[in-house]
Amino acid sequence: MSQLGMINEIWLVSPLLILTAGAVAVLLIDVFLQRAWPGGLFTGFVLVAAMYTSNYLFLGEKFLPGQRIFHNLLYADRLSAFALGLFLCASIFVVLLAHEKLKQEKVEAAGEYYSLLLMTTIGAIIFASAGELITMFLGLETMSMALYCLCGSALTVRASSESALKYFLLGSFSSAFMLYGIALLYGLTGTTLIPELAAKLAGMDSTVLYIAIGLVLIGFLFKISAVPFHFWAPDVYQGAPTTITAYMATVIKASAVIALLRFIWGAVPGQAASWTGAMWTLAVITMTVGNLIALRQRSVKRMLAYSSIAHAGYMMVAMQVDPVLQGGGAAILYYLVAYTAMSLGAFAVVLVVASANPGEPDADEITRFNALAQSRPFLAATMALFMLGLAGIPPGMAGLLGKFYIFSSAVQAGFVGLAIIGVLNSAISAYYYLRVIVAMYFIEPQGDEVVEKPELGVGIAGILALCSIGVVALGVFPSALHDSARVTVQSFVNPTSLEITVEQMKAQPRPEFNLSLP
Amino acid sequence: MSEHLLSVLIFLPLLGAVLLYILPFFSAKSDGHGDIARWFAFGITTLTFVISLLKLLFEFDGTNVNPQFIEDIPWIAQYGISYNLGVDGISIYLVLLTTFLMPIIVLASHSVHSRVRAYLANMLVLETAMLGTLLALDVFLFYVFWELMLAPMYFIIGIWGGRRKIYATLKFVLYTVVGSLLMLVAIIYVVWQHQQQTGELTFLLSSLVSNTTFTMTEELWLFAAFALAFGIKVPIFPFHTWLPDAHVEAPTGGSVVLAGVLLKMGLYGFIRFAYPLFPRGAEEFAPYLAALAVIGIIYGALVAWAQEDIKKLVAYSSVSHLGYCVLGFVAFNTISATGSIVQMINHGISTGALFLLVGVLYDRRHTRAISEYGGLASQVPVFAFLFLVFTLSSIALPLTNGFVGEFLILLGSFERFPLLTLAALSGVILGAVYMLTLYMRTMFGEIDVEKNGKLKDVNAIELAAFAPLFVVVFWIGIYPKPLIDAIEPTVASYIEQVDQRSQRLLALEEQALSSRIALSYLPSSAAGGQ
Repeated sequence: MSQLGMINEIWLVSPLLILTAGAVAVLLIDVFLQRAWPGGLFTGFVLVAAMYTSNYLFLGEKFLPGQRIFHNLLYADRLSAFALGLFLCASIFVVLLAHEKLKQEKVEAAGEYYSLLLMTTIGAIIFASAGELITMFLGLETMSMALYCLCGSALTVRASSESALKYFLLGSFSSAFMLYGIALLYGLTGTTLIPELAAKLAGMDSTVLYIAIGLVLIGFLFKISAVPFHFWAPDVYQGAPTTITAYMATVIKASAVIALLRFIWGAVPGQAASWTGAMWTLAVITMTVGNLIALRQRSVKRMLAYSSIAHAGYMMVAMQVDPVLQGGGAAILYYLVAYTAMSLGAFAVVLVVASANPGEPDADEITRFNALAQSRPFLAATMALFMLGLAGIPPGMAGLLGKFYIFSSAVQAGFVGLAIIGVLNSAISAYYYLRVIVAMYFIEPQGDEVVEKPELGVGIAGILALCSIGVVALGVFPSALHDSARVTVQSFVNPTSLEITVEQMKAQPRPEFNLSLP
Repeated sequence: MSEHLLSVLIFLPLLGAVLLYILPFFSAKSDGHGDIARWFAFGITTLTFVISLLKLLFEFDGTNVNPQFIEDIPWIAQYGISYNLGVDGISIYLVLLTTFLMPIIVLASHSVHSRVRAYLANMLVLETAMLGTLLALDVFLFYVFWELMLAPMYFIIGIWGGRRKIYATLKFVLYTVVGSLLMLVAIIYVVWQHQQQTGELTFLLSSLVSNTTFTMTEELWLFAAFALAFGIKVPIFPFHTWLPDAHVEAPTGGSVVLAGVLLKMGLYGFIRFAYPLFPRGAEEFAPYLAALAVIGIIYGALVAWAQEDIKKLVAYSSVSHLGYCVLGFVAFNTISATGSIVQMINHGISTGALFLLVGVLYDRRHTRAISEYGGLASQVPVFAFLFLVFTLSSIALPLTNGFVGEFLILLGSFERFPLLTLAALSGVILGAVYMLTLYMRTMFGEIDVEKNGKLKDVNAIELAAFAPLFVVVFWIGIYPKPLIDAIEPTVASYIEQVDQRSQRLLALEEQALSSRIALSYLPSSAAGGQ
């Protein structure tokens, strides 16, 4: 497939190159400037530039179905473009959050922080668009290493260092599992390229193969925090600075989900019968455990961590379904976008509320949300919308539609029991989401106790407004995103079926973009 | 406007709610007591009512049994979901009831003193959700509006409710959510069955009803899933425990809208969705539903009798009265089902009015204990008169609205469930007992609590809220013909269609069975031929 030529291939990875240059530049500027500077804004600019480039490529239809570049090491298909767009959008939001609230987070070294954030994003993009297992592993490690540092970036906060160490130890352990699995797969087939693996594994049936698949899956399930590989998640989510928690719950989780999809649907689809059984059980346990423990949390941040485990469980429901024919793939991608909008917004609110009492260990307790509707009506209203969305109750329409797509694909594939367990879980989750609304709206301020009014900057207000609009609009007009998600999944799973579609798209007039450079 | 009439009705209140939030002259600074916001909300709800009266009711063709004023726009085309609205004889008066009660509820909001703007906005969003639920003919659209009813009611009870408001509102939402999420799975299952049988993916109710076939087992399970969601909402005994809590804790307006409209949505769901889709499942469940309904009638009445709190008494009387509606509908003949729909409207009027009256008392004395009142008739004669009228309407005295519905229900149900209907009759008597006891204890005798000596009679605004209800009580009680004329033809054809579908499904299954038997005999007969 590599008839593109070196120059064109470099064009296709230009977003990655811009991000890399940005990561180095931020570090260097920080070293030479020796004083405070708006590093957040600069990082934001780098991300926007990368976004612009990727969009330009995307609109120019350069991300063709099944296209692979650099000797098949990376996919440059629509799924990569989707991942690029989602991660960069979410990263821009996180950078904006960090720009306003980094001081309250007790993060001193701003240059390193932003540089590491960019590196994590690079790793996430490579992880999600790898066409080969070793590259995938490299992406995973790039992402994880930078992330471990970011978790510990609040140097004076003990919980932050603790979370970094915990995440590092457990993360390395799970990476080793994954690497072992990759080695076994290589031993069985002599290749690590994703589609070639599928071809060689077709019809193969051996114990070693199942062990190998199991080991690789463990690595992925650790990253998406599926039960029983979830024990790190609550502590790390709670200990890390909230900006990083927001980043983990959205970009890192989405990246791991997309990479997992590439593995299960690209490399081992022939063995589906063996891993769907395990996935069924794990999905049920993940949803149930996540929701049940979330019920008992007092810290909203920790509650959102457990809820993110439960949401991983919902997505695992659709992973057992045929990605194209039964709509499992589009359901997961839609859910990822909806979940990103809702949980980014929710973490942003937690960040703002906690910043009223910086450094106190209980700054994100649910009692801190009491009567927020009266001191900060806008903040409370958006949080209520995100909570309703996560529970799948209108007007949080994106959450409702996300669940609808997931459960309808499950019912279509005959997993009625799984869908019923899923909706019952969803009903359980309604309780703890609604409890936040109870605190914000239904509890009156006590006597003449002075309530700290959290600072709400323009940037964060903008993020909250955008996320709110997203949560409502994505649900009221879901077709555009869902249709494009469908084509996206098809472009990876079954590229040949799409050629006509792309031809038709090319027939439509669009701004010309010539890749051949002078 | 006429081709988008239903959309206008649905979204006018939502527009009002949005304006309430964004327009500056509703802000706390320029509108401290929320008076401007109140008049604005009153204007919006009145406008909605006037439109529904002039454009919908007066141009509605009562002889046409099909949905009218249809709007059909594709919404989620990939899944065959469309924005499909329509109104027929079953829903038209429920729509009218909703738009009629809303201005009255806004008038009653004068007892709300904090965060008036948010209260009114929630009420307006609730009106949008209720009208959407009544008018949607696409199953998914219905589900979205059905769920949209939750959030505003959750806020109304939770923010403006009484002492145990948090417990009550969480209980209300969680009960409803469990039921409706299981219904969502059932909806999806029905739709995929339809796709497998016809090759077409659609959520349109009419296609699902006319083209999908189910086996008996499927029908039983699917009907059970729908019945759970709707049964919780009605509520049917034993799923009723959330209702007294919600009623007692809700502010007056919340109670009125809950009793007046929200509870009817459950039975409306049975009528519109569960019965047409799964006629045989419904047939199988009907005796049990009827029995539960009668248990609800008697149990609700007995518990109401024992209450010391006026509002709780009225709340349990709701459980009892809705039992009649359910009984009338599951008896499933034209007379009883028509009576059931009429009774839904009547219950909305009379119980709504009773909750308003309780609200009037509570505003003045801040207690709802029956023992705190007594001998009010001499002190507040107008109030006592209104209370008498609505009490009599609630116990179905002839010439009031309540009589018409209950009589039709009992008349129709006796044919199908003679013993249960006889048992239900005792509920009528019990109803008279507890309501008249309440009236006697609060209104007659001497004024024995000192504070009641200074009680003020109903004021002009309250009178304005009661006047239309008063008129309707006697209009339906004395001349119910237009109401019944609009409902009955649709109900008759509806019952016929459901029965036809039931027979068709039965025939299909027998056909399948006999062909299977024929197949199993085939080899032996072939062997015999040799």
